[in-house]
Amino acid sequence: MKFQVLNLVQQLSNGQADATVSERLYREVIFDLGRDEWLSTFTLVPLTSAGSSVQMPVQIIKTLAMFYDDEQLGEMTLKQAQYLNDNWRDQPGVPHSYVFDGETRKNFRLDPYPMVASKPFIFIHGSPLGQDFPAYAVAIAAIETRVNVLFQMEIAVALLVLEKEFERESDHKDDAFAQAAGQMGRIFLEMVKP
Amino acid sequence: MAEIAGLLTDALLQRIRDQQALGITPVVDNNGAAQNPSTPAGRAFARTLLSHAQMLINGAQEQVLSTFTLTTYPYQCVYPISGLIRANTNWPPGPNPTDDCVRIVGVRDGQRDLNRVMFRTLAHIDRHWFRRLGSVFTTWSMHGADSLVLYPGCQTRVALTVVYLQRTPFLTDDSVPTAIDDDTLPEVVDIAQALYHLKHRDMDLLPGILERLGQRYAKNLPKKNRG
Repeated sequence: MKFQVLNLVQQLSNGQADATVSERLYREVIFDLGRDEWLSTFTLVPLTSAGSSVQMPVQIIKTLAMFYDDEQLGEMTLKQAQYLNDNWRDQPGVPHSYVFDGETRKNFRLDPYPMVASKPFIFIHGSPLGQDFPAYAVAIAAIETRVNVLFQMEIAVALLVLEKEFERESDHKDDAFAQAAGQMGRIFLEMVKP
Repeated sequence: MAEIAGLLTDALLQRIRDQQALGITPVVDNNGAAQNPSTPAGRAFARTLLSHAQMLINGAQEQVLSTFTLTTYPYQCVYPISGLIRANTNWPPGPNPTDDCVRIVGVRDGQRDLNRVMFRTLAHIDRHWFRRLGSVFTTWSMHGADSLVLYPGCQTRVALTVVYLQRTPFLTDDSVPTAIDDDTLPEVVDIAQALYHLKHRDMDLLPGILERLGQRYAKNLPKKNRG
């Protein structure tokens, strides 16, 4: 839980850590942990209009796999898509890849784009990823950012927050403390790795 | 035989030469309110450090295992495990009483063990794995720390046995017994001691403990992060 991590931050820093800044640093640490693939989710995304770019849900920080209907799509870069077909954005068909738009990593397009919109998201059996999976929808396996971390990560995340808090410029900057806290945090994360 | 938290707390306080626990009194309580130095609060904070340390040692050594019956849903391959595996009600509730699973270590269908593969390997096995149906589950995988993937999906509900590494009890009181082997309790005290030294900026005493922990439990980390 977030408040327990922030309590540990206060306690281990003897109250020196700035509470407001710590909260921001806590979010930064969760974002950084996206690289190590801790907080995972499967999300369904509806396809409404054919050919348009689709917005990624805001909480997603790293995409590990994407599925159209029942097939796992490959990831292509913008350059690869252009190399294969200059007009790839206007190519209808059954998608085999997804491409993140050049403008932002939060928008993606399917290549080629599907001509049909996804079926309505109605989950009669309460199983959106099972029996109720809507046909022609996109499912994304991703790492997300959350308010609360898993309980086994709390002490490690508190130490990583302390590392950031004490290495930034402030009246309580302490490089040795920050380095030790960071080392401990990374060792502790390694101990409870999935 | 389990040791009670009180004895472990005494061991920690003796090591740090603060038997009254005045030096580790938390500055705020669990609700964020400021606290005055006192022995009970100091001991409670020592137990908090020991609780986290016990959980870390259990995470590294996989000592406290438990099983959970997962009844699958038809056609579904993915199961979020946060909140799914509930806390052992016999143990004192920790800060997150609903979660009980540190890590899944195995999945069985009756007496048959399912094979574990890396998440990225699933696409190499079958590009349609996400909706593939079969007669029995053959493979499991983890997506991140809290999503279980079973492959292939089944059309009927199946009861699987999930073997998981259990959350160790939070040492809320001096009478709560520890859950891991007594032989590994000195390492629990080591970790709690390292946290104490960090809190008190005793940086000279930290490198030895960090190096020992890093060499033992964090071999995959770059050397500069191992202490």
